Amino acid sequence: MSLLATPRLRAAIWLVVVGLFAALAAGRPEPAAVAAPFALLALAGLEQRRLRPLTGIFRLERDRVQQGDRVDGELTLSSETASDRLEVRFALPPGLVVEREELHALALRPGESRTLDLVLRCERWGAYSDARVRLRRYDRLRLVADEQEIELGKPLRVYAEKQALRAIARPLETEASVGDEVSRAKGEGIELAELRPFVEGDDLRRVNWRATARTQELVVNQLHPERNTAVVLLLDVLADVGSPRGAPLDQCVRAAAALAERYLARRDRVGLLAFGAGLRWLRPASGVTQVHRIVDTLLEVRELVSSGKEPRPLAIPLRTIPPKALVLALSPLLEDAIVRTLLELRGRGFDLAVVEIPTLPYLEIEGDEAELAARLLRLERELLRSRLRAQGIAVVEWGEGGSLEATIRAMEEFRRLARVVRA
Amino acid sequence: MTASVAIVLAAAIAAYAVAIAPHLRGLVVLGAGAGLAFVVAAVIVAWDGGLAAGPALLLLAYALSLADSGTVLDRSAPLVAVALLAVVEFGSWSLEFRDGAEERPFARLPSIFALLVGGLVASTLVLTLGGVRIEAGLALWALGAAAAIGLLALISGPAISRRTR
Repeated sequence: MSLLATPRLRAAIWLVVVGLFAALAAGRPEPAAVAAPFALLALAGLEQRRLRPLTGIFRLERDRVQQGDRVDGELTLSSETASDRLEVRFALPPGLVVEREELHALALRPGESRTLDLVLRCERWGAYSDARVRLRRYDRLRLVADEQEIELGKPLRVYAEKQALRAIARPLETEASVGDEVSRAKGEGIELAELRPFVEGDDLRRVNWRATARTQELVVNQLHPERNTAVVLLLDVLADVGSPRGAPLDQCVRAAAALAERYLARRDRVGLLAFGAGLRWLRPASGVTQVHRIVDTLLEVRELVSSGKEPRPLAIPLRTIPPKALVLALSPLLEDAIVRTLLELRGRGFDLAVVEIPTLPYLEIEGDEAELAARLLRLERELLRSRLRAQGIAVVEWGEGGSLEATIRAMEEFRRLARVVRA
Repeated sequence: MTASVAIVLAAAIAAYAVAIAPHLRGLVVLGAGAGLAFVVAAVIVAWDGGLAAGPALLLLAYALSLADSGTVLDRSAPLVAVALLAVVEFGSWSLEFRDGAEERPFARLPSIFALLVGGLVASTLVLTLGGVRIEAGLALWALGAAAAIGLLALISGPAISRRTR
């Protein structure tokens, strides 16, 4: 709680100073007589030391909501001391808006408690722990005021809109555990790989009798085993540019959540690697808990957004990415650091694909110069994509109005047709 | 509304100071004009510093207008005090309104009225006491100066420390 003098008290002090010295200088009582009420007022201000703390509770009905939802809440204030004027201001982070009619300054009697209902509109995903209410309370004569802040009781988690997704990009290699992905290797499974002559020790149930009858010698089925895969979602949070309509980072987060959910439904292992000004990662794991872990981590990635300084080239710890994992990068490809990182990962031999979120649709381009700059940027991006594709990295663009489904299918198409180049 | 009241009263004090000034009229006009300008600026652009400087300049202009006006007391000094008090009160109130309207704005009017009446009484009392001529020369003058300095120290010390806390 901080205490401060109001303009009224400061004016009173000034008037006392001027009045008394003018009276002394002029040798007349009138200026002192004019200053007298202000002297009493200023002395009364000294008596306002006994402002007891104001207690307040700021809480919401729910602490987990979807983007675009409205959540009801209330602010309860009680004061032991009378306050002639109590100003209430919501200091909410961008992305949260309080829906309320013009808020009036309150007047509280000693011991009185008041509850204000409010509705919070959640415009953007994120974990909001810094939503608070600022209060300024004036004493009876409004000579001093104290200020204090009330924090939201429980952090509010706003989840990004869900994105439906059926398609997936298949990793080139599978892992050892059982899953839904048909491995390129041969072993126990359902999918037929090839036929081969019977050798001693083969299970008789594997004999392909039709082929045996045709070739007049025992032939057995070779099968592909169903295995799981590891996918690491690489989220670029180096920049958060955009307009009130949205931002590429929003799309990145939506895509990451949808992909994580889709892969985990197939019993694959999914990890998350978010990097911006810092690095945050979740080791690949499978199961429902991992979905929640990833979604919860995604809510906090905005803290990693670089503050505008040149981002440092980041070294990704090798152990965060399993050797056979598919690294799926979600990025607007705006910063050199992300391009360098992708090329470095490709150089290390990782299976890599990129979902590019274009930035231009989010920017307001007006005027000839801006148009020219946008054209140059488009050309640069085309060049960058060609450079990455030349390294065997599938780069597909997910435009603002496009579907993620089609984007992932296009990526899978590219990966199916592209020849794998080993470094 | 509150801002208009503050401006009108500040203009009235400025006009009064200019009207009663027998000498130094140029300086009085300058001080009163500057004081009025500060008050107007304060309520228009929500500058709370103007609400301290403006009334202080008006008081200075009033004190200048009394210089060399003989030994006759200006009996309307309590009214000037009340008017200045109202300028500060309504001006500050108009600034507060900008930070949010009040639930019951009219509930404050009785306390303002009480404050103005109290100010009128205090000012009249000081003027009456100040008008009593006691021939004590320099000693009494020094006592008055010491009392003034003591009062200022009493007021400004805690207020300044509180502001910076």
